[in-house]
Amino acid sequence: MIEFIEVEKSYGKKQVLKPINIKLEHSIYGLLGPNGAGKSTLMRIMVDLSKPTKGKVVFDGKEVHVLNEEYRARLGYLPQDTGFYGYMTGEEILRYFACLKGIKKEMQNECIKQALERVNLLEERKKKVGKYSGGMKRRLAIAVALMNDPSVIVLDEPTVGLDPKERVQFRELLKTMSKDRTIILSTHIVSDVDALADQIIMLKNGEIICNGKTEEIVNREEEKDKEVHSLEDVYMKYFKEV
Amino acid sequence: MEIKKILKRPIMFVITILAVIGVLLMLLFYTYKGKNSYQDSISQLLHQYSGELSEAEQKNILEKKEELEEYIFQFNENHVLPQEYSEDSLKVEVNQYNALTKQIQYYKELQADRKKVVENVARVRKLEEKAGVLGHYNKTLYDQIEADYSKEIRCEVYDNQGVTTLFDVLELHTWDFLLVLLFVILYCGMFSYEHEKSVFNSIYSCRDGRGSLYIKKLRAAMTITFVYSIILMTASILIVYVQYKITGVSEPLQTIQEFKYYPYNWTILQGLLFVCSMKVIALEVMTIFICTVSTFFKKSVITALVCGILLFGGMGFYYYCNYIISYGANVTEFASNVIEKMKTAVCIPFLESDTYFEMYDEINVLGDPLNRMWLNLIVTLLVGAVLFGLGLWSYSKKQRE
Repeated sequence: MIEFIEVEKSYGKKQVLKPINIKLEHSIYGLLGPNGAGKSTLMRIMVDLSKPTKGKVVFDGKEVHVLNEEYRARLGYLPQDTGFYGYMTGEEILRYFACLKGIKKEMQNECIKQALERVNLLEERKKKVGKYSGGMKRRLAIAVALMNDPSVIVLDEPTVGLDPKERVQFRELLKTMSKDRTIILSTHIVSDVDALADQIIMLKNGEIICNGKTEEIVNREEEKDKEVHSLEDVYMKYFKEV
Repeated sequence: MEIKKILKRPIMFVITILAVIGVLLMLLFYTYKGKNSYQDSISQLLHQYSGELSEAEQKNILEKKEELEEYIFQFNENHVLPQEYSEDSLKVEVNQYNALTKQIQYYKELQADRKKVVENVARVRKLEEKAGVLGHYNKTLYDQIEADYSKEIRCEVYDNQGVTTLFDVLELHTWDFLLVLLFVILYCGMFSYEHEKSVFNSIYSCRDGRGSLYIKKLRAAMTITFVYSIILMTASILIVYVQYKITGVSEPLQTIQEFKYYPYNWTILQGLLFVCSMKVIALEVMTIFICTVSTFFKKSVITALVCGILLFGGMGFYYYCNYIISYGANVTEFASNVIEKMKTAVCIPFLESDTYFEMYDEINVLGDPLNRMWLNLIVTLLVGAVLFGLGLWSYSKKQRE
């Protein structure tokens, strides 16, 4: 379980995240919000890439920055912008990350094969990444994020660049992986969140404005407003003016 | 894996080609030099007299040289040659005997200097005794110097063309600059390439923290530097070996004139190994320097520019001052000395082998000689350690928001 306790983040005088208090259990969380709401910042803090100005992030009772390597070993992160070294093949990229993720040498071949199979890149593994299409690069990035069998998965705009078929495959993959894991995904595509997430966190101006199970949120909002019938309607209601 | 990653970079191919071209050029240069027929004839005579020379032999050789010089003088004045010589054969023989007599004269110089040292010790000892300041330390030191320098030294002839050429090759040369330039090109993106390619977020969120990643990357760069410098050094040693045959490596280092006052009992081989090791260490420090600069910037072009300015700018300024200003505007000797001191402030002189073996000043034999060899080693290692720390700090702390 991951817990954000009074987490704040400022860049100079600009406060990007107002005090955040939230507990993330084993489930799929959808992080929704317009551009500049603080989604990426929250995710970067969660993956230990950024330090909170105030507050702390706790994983299984221990602070993330104290756990350090131990925490990152259980982490899978897919950033919004992912590039790779074009002169390396897909397999080499995965091997490189396998080393960085501390996967044992004798396990590496199996992990790489599994990761490539998951994202349908097994046949393209010997191809230079520079020759991959945008969608293939994104799938490779997904393979990198998931290859160490992480218990915390953080995905920033995971379906950007994927075609409809790949998007469906990715949803299925994530669903199969969701058991006993904390998955948080941020996206502008509400249908992805609707299809995948068990719980929703809505951010606006660095503040959590809505948090809870997807169905409960939709039902609650439906009771208040007869025109709201889906998560997309809820999103539009909150962020219409943004 | 980091090594593989560097080796796979397309620039690596260009660098390898350039390195091969560098070796081939060196081979051509020394082949051209080595084809000199005078060198071969000198080697022949040195081999003929190889070993210890008696007083009588020394005398005969010096007389023979004088005789040849007289022939040359006569030829220049009257164009007359003895029957047994042609113009060419006379010149060859003069060169042969020049090389041989140089060794004998150097031996005599050494002997005279040693005598002078013993005399100086005796004089200083007397003065200190008279003044009542001769302490136990100085007494022991003087005894030791007297014992060492009173020993007879032998006049042995050996062909030192190979080893002197090797020392010459191992001094700072154009290929050192080329190598440093290649390293700048290769390592400028060591820590900034991941930003340029937007891989940094994925990399930094992996188990290995930035500290351990920095060490792994640096280790990879240093390994490549080590292998490259060893290959190129071995290539140059082989080239010299093929051209000159390296003989006399077990002779004392002081038998080479440049190391006349060298204070330790080292053999030429030890001296050569030390120069090679220092060169590798210096190139490793250069590598750490480039990698450290790379941690401060997110663009490899900027790193390359900064490294270029810092590494080559100092030397460029030095050469500019030395050659253009001094010859063009009659800079005084004092100004030249200032420029000479500035030269030591930049990193490149670490590569110069002649700075490791600061010669003893004759007057300084009994004083505290400035021994730049160890100083150079310590300073180089210290600079390396400081740069390493700076890079580690910069990479693991500064880039985190």
